[in-house]
Amino acid sequence: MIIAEMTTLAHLAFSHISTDATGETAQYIAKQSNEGRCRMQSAYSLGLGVMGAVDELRIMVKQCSVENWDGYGAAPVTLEAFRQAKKVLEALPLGTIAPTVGAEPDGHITLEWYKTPRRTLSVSISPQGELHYAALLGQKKRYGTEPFWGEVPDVVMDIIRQVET
Amino acid sequence: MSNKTELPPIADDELLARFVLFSDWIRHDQTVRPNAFIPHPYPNLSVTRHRELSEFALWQIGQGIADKRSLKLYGRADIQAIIVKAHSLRIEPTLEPKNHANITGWPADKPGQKIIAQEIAASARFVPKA
Repeated sequence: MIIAEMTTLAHLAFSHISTDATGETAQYIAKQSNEGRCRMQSAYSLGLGVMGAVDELRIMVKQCSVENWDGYGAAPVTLEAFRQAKKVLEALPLGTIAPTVGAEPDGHITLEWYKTPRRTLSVSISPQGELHYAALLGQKKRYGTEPFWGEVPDVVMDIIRQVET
Repeated sequence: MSNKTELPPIADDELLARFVLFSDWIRHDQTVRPNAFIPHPYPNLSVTRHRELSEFALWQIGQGIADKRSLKLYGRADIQAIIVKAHSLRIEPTLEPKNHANITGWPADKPGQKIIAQEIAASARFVPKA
């Protein structure tokens, strides 16, 4: 059972194109569009870009997709959590500084944007697509929960920009 | 005599160690990530009091925790008790294991926990395992 789940996970983790498009032409266009976007992200971010973060995500998910991965009863990072995090990464505007990724004992995935310990944003992504965020911006702090509906919520994008500047 | 009277109270300037068992709890610049201090989904966060322990004894405790969980000990994140108390959290010492304490009183919601964990992490000092 675990092997089957991990095989499915690995298959999906390493698939680069995700599209709902049907028909040969639509699929071709979607494929070209996705590939173009990948190239642009790599080129624009000069180094480890958003696609680098997706690679990091794949590695992390493989390590944390089993029960008790922390030796203290942690929930596995599920395929659904992986999909949600990947969608969030892919929804980031081109040129956005790539976050680092991590796993949490409740099976959520963390994305972190960091400049200094007091200028940082941490977003926990649940398998249900909730974004629990918390940010220190100098002496100010912002935190809350936003749903993810395919676009990164404005409040989160605003904080990412503030961390970057 | 009750257990509570046997345990010395935690002073504001006392140092507490959170053992680092995951490399991604530490950033490239050796600062501590907030994930090291988020209790969720557990109600409490475990720490070890430095009180009356030598460096050697402190690392022994950390290594014991890592061994029990079949994980590598990367180091420890030290925090002052007053930083924890400043966020209306309580530090409750326990009799066993030696010098153990639970940080309790966390908000129930995850963003509420995350923001406190960020504040604590920003004040923490990472000490790598030699």
